[in-house]
Amino acid sequence: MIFALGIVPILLLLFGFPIFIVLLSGSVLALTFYMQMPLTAIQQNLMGSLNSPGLLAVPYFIFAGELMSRGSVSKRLVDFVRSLVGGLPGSLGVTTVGTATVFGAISGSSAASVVSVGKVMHPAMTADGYPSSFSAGMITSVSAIGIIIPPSIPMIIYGASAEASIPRLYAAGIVPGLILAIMLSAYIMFRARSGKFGTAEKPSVTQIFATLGRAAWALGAPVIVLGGIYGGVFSPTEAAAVACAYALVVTRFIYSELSWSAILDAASSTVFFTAQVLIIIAAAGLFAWILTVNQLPQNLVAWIAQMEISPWQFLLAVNILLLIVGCFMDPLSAILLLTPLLIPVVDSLGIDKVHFGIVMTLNLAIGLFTPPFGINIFVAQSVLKMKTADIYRGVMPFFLVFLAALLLITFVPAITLWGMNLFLF
Amino acid sequence: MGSSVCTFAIKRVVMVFFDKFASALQALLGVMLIAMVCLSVYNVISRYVFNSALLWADEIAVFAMIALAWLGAVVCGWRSAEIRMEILTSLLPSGAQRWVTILQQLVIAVLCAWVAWQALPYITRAYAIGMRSDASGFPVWLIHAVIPFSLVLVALIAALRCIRVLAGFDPSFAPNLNNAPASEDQVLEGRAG
Repeated sequence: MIFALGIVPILLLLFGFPIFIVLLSGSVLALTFYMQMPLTAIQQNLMGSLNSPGLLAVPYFIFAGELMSRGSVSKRLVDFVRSLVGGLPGSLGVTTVGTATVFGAISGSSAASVVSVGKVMHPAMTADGYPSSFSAGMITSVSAIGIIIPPSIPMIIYGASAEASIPRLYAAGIVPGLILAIMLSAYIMFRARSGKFGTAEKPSVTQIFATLGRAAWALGAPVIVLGGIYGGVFSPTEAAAVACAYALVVTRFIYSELSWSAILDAASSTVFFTAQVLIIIAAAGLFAWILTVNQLPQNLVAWIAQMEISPWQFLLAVNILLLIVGCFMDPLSAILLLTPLLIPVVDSLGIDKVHFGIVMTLNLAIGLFTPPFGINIFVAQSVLKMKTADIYRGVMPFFLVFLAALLLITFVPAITLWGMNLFLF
Repeated sequence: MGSSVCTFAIKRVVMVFFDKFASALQALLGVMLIAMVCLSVYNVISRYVFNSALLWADEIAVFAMIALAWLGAVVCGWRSAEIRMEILTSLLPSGAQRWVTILQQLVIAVLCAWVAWQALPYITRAYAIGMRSDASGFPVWLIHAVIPFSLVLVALIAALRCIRVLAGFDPSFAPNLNNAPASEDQVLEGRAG
């Protein structure tokens, strides 16, 4: 059984097989050669893993993000945030953090944030005297906030995989996301002041209102989504559908930026990305079912209980594991592979599943920009036309800031749980 | 020389057909996604405005998502865009990469065909007893059939890619065959010469 569920999947993973084939092959081998069960279980599980209304939020939020990231939404957000923080040292850097945070609340995609925010902010920061590698590292790393601030696609996947409430996860993500944004802004302000770069320009009230007016429709998306969910108006899935409709109306009729063919193109792109993700969910559901039937998570729990590991030791070990995994694997695949194994241990140690979900998401968010293989690095390299080595150098200080935030959020669960209770009334 | 030109022409037709099919399928699924959004939004509006909700709406949207996932996987397979970890294989020399690609495509073709085959008894049984879904009364066999149908297409694509690599061509199919891959033309020229 270890051969089918451990050695074969790891080998196929290392040999670059598609993740869904890795999971499917391990499952098929286990069912065919080691288990006395009818093989129709494969079909039933491949179907059953996706047969969940909660997962509809995945294509819907991706579609809403696709629509909003085309056109001038990011420019409008940048102008608004800049008018708010213009008086601070390193105001353009703080604007980048603020825009990535708001953009994350609209699109939930980190790579989209690198593209949209990077295109606008990198030339502006270069013109304002920011060291090029510093601004590139900033854009590459701060965009990872997008998957911590709700709506977050990795959180939906985690919620489905761990049977955790998605509204609770969303509510729990807000405060850690904001803490991260504050820590990053503080670091940027410190660097701008000590390095004597970046100009500060105190904004006028008229300017703030003017930019607010231009960005109001874009800012309406997170208000409708989060307000709708926590006001009890609709479920997270319905909120995602409403976000799509809202994005469609704003980009097509209000900003008049997207033609019908551009909307269809956005829908086609969404199909592509959605299929990449959902196919792994289907295979991971089968894999998780086989793990459960063979009581592997339970055995892992018993083994960890024997070792008398405390919750904080477990969380520390998981942080190290996830930081390493995050360097090599995309967050969604990592969540789907590891959650079924880790959740029984999390439960047995009395760790809150929602808190663990935030810790997991934050770890994997860091992996998005950790050298050498973080996906954001390659997106930034393509958008900013910079050398990889310069981006590597630029992200390192931000990696340390994220790491500090991770330790704080991991070992002070009150931060996530307080935020969750605050937004859930 | 004549036969290799003929083989090349047939291959080109097959490639154009598959590429057009993949593009059309992706566009069709895009339209289906928009329809799913409309259905879900209508259900919200209907609940608040007309005080009634379509009980079958969620179920149909979920079935559409399942179809979108599996048929979309065919498009991803055609464009070699499945999520994978390519760190180690990218470090291998090109000769070794070629053999890894052949191994990958063989495993994908055999595994997907096998899983599709194993699905048939369940689907034929669901069809025979006329099993329908709870809320919408949608034929269960039909939505289940999407999975083996897609897996067969994924297996076929992998088999084609395997043959292509064994014949010495680049593994990626050209997304736009108006601009055929240089490697293919070069290889053909080399053979014709």
